[in-house]
Amino acid sequence: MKIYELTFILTTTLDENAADAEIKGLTDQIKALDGNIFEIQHLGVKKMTFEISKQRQGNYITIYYEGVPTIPKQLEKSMKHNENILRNMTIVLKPSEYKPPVKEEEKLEEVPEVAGESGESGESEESKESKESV
Amino acid sequence: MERRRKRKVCRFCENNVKRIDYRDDRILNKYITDRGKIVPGRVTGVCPKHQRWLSTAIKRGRTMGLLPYTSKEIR
Repeated sequence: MKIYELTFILTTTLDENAADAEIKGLTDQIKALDGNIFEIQHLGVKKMTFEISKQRQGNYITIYYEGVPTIPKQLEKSMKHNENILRNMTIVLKPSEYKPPVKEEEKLEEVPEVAGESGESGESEESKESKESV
Repeated sequence: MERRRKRKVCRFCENNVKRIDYRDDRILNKYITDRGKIVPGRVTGVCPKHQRWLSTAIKRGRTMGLLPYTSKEIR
């Protein structure tokens, strides 16, 4: 399993919903091929230094995922035939170059434990004391 | 008397850069000329390792349309 960075340019003629649908189509394809998606970055609309298929601007999007080497090949095939994607590039990342972000579920599990040990008991005692004094 | 030139230090080494991102066109633009050529390391002071990383990043940036192959004047 390797970590891949897929960046592609969507045409600016697409609506937000259509662009989201395109991204969802790709992510579903990755998931169907047993890939694991870490992160989706929207780099926004950028001006290109030269025209690509008669367009001056493009919507840049990056997907970080993990999977078998056959995934990027199949993705590139499908992206080649897609008219809404102007260009794409996949890069293999070293583990030192990219560290996948911690999932929110894991974060949520960690936070209450810490609050329960130190924060809550202290606060409750203080609040009791303050109430009594008033 | 000849002046001794101050030795340039690699900025990437100073900042302990582990990866040069080809999507970061703001940084990469500093290392190309007006005509779109890659500036040699002896001019910018970038060390050989980071110069290699830079050149690949610039070439990737060009294919993705973020950096120019040539200037508009030549085209």
